[in-house]
Amino acid sequence: MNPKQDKEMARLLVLAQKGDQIAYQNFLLAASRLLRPYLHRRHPQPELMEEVLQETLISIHRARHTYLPDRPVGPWLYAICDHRLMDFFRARRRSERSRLNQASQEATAPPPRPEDGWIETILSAVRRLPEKQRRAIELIKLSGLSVNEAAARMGMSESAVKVNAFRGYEAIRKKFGVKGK
Amino acid sequence: MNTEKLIQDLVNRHRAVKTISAPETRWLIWAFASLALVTAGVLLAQPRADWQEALSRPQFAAQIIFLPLLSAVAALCALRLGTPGRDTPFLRSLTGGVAMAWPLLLVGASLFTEDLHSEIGWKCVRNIMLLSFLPAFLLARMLRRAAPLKTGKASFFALLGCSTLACAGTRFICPHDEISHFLLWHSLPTLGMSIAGFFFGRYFAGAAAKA
Repeated sequence: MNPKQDKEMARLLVLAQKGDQIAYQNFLLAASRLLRPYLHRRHPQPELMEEVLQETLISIHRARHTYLPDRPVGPWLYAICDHRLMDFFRARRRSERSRLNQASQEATAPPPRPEDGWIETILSAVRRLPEKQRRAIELIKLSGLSVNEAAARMGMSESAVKVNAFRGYEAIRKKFGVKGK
Repeated sequence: MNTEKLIQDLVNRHRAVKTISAPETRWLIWAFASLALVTAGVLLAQPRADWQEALSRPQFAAQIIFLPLLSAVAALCALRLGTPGRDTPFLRSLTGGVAMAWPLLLVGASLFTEDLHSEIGWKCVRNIMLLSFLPAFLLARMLRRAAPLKTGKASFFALLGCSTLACAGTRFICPHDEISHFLLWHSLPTLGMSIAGFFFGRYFAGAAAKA
């Protein structure tokens, strides 16, 4: 920011502090024109930097009473922007770390084994389902029949068997706290 | 929302604002008010009988000069942190370094000068907390009105400023002059309060500012 620009922005901000909305709009537009390339130089993804720019503008709005008229605008403006940028990188690092932790936990977790008792747990949940849902699941998933064969055994239409099996799956998913697709 | 729309929204919400005064002006107000409050607190709590005599001892006098000085600089750092673009990292690092090194110096001094016996001083901790309450309230109000970007650091320096001033005040009440007592019941609680301030500022004041 050159001294002329700084002086002009200071003039706009002082007018804005007195309640001039047009001056405030011009100040924010000038600030965003100034900060956009500054932010884009720091990160290759422009849409993410646009988010940081918006955060910065909100912070400027909240802190607009802290600008002291006899001081240059540049350090004030860039201090707010740098802080928002730091916040952004910090949040990104945190989310990246938690994503990596989650991925490594999933990769290192051993696959479930029958002796862990999970099969028995699911079967007991199936046994507690209403009669039609239980039968539909037993025939399709445990006995390995097709929907057509299961419908013939149960004396129902194919779509009714599908609906009952689907409701059964949903009930089991809900019981184990798994969200449906 | 795109940026132009956001600007329009901010402009529509904009009204005239009352600007805050320079950090140095607010610091002067705080320093005089806090000095008066701590002095009043010391008088209320009855100063030790030999305080005039104690002032002539170099160790006591050094503490009475050092603590308010550290308090003043810490409070100035906090108020400067509250104004974007006015932060002074060098002064801030120096003050933080001195605050952290001060108990270490006392540990060294107590090891060389006397045994590690120390009178129990819960009353001193209580006095430090009570004497720093009103200055801290005043400084918190000033910082709330400003816009500290680094809320954790601003709170650390604010609490350091208030507690070291209160610590200086407590020296006029507490009759124990042993270094180990001063270290354990005066300087460590002071530093503890400042560190607690950092976490409070970072996790509570920071969250409130972003809300």
